[in-house]
Amino acid sequence: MKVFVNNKEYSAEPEDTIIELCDKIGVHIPRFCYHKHLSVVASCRMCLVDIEGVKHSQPACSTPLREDMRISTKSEKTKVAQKSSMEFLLINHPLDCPICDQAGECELQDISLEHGDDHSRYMQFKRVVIDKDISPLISTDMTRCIHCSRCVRFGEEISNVKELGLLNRGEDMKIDVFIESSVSSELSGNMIDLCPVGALNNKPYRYTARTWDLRQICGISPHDCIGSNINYHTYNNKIVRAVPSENPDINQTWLSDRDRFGYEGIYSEDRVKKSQMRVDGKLVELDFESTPSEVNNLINNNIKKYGKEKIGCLISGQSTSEELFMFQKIFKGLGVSNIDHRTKESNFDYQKNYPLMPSLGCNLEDLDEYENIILIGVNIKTEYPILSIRLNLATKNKTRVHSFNFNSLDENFDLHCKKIIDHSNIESFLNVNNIELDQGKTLIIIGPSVSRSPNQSNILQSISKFSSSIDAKIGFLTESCNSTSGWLLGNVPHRELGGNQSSIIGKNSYQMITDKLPSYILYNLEPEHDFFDKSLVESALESSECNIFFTSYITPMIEKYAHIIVPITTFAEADGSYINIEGTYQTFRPIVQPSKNIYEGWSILNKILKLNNLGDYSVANIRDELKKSLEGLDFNMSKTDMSNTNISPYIENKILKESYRETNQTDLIVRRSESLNQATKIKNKLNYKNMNNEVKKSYIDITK
Amino acid sequence: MIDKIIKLLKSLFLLEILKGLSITGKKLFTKPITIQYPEEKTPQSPRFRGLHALRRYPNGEERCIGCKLCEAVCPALAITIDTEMRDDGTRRTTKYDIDLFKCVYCGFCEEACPVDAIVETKIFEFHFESRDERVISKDKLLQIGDIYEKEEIKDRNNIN
Amino acid sequence: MNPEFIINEELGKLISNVVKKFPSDKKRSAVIESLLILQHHNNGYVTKNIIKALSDYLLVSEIDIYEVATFYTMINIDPVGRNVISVCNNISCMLRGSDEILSHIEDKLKIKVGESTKDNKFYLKDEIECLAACNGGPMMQVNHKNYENLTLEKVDEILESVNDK
Repeated sequence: MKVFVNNKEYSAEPEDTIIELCDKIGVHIPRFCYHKHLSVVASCRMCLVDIEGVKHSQPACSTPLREDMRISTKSEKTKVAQKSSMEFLLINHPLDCPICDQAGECELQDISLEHGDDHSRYMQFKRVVIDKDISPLISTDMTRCIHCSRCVRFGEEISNVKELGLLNRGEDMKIDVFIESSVSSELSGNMIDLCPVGALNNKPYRYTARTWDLRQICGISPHDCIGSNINYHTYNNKIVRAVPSENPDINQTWLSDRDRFGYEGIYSEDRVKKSQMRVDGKLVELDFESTPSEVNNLINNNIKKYGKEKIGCLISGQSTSEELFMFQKIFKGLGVSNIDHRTKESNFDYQKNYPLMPSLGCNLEDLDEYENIILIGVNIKTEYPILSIRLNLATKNKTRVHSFNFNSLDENFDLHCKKIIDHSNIESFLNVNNIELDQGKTLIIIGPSVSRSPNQSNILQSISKFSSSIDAKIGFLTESCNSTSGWLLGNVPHRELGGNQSSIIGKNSYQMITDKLPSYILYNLEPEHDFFDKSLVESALESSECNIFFTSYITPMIEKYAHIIVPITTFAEADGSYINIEGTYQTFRPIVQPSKNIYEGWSILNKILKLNNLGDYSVANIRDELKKSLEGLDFNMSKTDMSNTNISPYIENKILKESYRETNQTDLIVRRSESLNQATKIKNKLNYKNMNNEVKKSYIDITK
Repeated sequence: MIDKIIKLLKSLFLLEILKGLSITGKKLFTKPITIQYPEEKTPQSPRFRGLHALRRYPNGEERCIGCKLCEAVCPALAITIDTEMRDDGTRRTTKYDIDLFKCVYCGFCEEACPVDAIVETKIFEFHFESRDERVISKDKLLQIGDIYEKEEIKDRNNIN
Repeated sequence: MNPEFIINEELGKLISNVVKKFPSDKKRSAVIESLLILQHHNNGYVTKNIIKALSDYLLVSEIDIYEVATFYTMINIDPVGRNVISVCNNISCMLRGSDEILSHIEDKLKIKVGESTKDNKFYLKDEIECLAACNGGPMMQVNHKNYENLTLEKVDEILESVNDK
């Protein structure tokens, strides 16, 4: 189709609107209410353009293109229309830019500079809207609102939890929540980005810096296995806020609250500031330079003293690929084969037939191609909020989503059916007659609650059998953001780097803990929360003689049982990379500089490696080697077949009743994010208030 | 030839010196321009840009809202500001430092300020006894403001 | 906290009649009429709990219903008097002297338009459009019953005759 914009000819798609075409060809049209992922309402009237043959200016966002249309975005008529719209928008907008956090990145500011008048003809009183505290994450200044309704449409269309609404009408119109309720969705932070003015703003960031002071560095989300791209904004070498970095394949323009506010955890009070060593029962500080050799001596002494098979090496799946690579390089190099990253699991019979790495089985953008998606043991809304956007769009696109979970949590998209399962009865549910499957492709997504189940192997086996009976694909959603690397890079007791079978099969994490080894090496793990059972870990640590902790945070248990504590960087302070659940390899640079006595994770491991003459790496070297070892691997997970696994019968034991974690409990950084904790507390309180008495009784423990 | 004779006569009768002395003589009886600093001082314009001060509202509330426009506009990067939310929910500075060695007294900060908080007073005579004293903090700036508030108001009225 | 509001069988029947008028996936369309039904049932105003109950009943989000309730002046969110007086002040009635009637009522009940009396007996409704009885102007409605050809005396009579429920 042929269209003219400002007397230049362009070819256009017939289904596009004017604004879509102009965005593609790079002609700027001012807009407030239009957003490419939201529906069109044409309420701000800022995008009015002049079309030849049409008497009045037309909104570019809602006017479809037609053949030989002649659009001018710079004509006198357009300018007059835009100037008038701007004048109306500014009538009630306060002139408080100096104290507004949006100033400097404000769409209203930019557009009024470009299209607005330099003085106001409006002499009457301005409208004032009284603020409400709607969320611990979002600050409101509703007087600034220009009623573009982007936030309302976001709730309606994207997050599918409508919490904000346009109340009243005319002069009294305002954006507000329902009586005595608040904004508590896991994606609420996106409204901050969507708001073109300073009406909805980032509460923890409030008044800390100005936009022009900030430095922007792109990072990857360390809180879930989707790997959202985040732009971290730093001020004086401190992260002050996070905004999404657009990546159409992964997070589009969205970000979950956990990714947005999780960074607060790295400024927690309990960060380890200096290496410490236990001398005569007391922890004393260690030199920065001497720490690597002390750690190395300790490791080698322990190996000599207790034997290779008596050392337990556990690493968190949240560590970067570089750290995971170096970790297994050292310990497999030293002959220790007790390496594991699956600390939350307790049943490992499945491991031999497990695919090369857990994978979603398809790309995120292809999720809506499946007619049926069966979720087993996962609550997408709280555990993978960013994925719920994709699934919400998929359900609107005729995908049926079935949910089988250990608890009755709601999702924020439409479920075709929801069933509560037990650790032992999954097989009876997985039956073609039980599940109303639509004709077409089916995807089974196995969530982290399954891997936490004491009956994991059985469940995986029956899912595998079921999937082959209905010719479905199997996908996984993993516990940590980098569990994929954990598998691929050989941080499992039975596999080597690149996924080859090991000759010696070491102990898995459950055996390591229950066998009570004399020495543990814990990397980036919090014994209180990162294991399947706290008391078992405690007794294991108590009976062991020499524990080495590489950690960013000091916890009571670490303080009590550590022989040496090595402070390491978090994701924000070192180079790193993650492999997300699709198999996308994403690298990132340090966002802030670590403080003086904290080691970059991979570099302290490298120093230890060097002391053992096992090699010497730089970040670039590690990445080269990673690529080499991963070359030619089959990432296609369709061939997952675990049906032949030999599995010991399921024995009901008392450990692991907790199959669900709050969204702010998923990893050690998020657990320390104050805003997120507060948000969860308020959400729980509200839920509690709305419950009837019987449920209340069973709920008391959680709110405490 | 004649020129040479005239030159000779002029130098013989010390004409140039007399001319010069006549100016000296005249100036002996006119009012002198030089002043006896520090006893005497030159007049200052109400727009004089000297030492900085932070002003307050008549009710004692500091004017500065921490918008950082002065920091942004400062061509010498002499101003450093940190802000936070005060308990009453308003935006306030926790740090407002001016490095007087860097400052070029251009007055842009005054012009940028939306609330007339930072001003340049008429004080031009100040000294430091150590290098660290060159950075003046918020407390000091407010103190200066408190002392010179009256003068500042007068100057502002004179300008308009 | 107020006791929970339960949509009883009778109300449920009325609302489900409204819902039937619209396509099954467009339950939001039934919100206005349902609110009016519930408001009538609850002495002329809706409460937070009524909105919640309706939200559960229609499976429409609470804020959606609240948007509708705040948008239309015919739905009251704040408590109002038990007997609703609506004085028509559109053109026909105005020409026949409705302004006088209105100010008389205001003086008599010592309230302004849009307010309720202190004892919550009367509520003088705001923004009344034509009530389709122009032939009998000036007119007013008390508890949805028309009174036409009003005079000041007649108004007094009507207001005194209102029995409190």
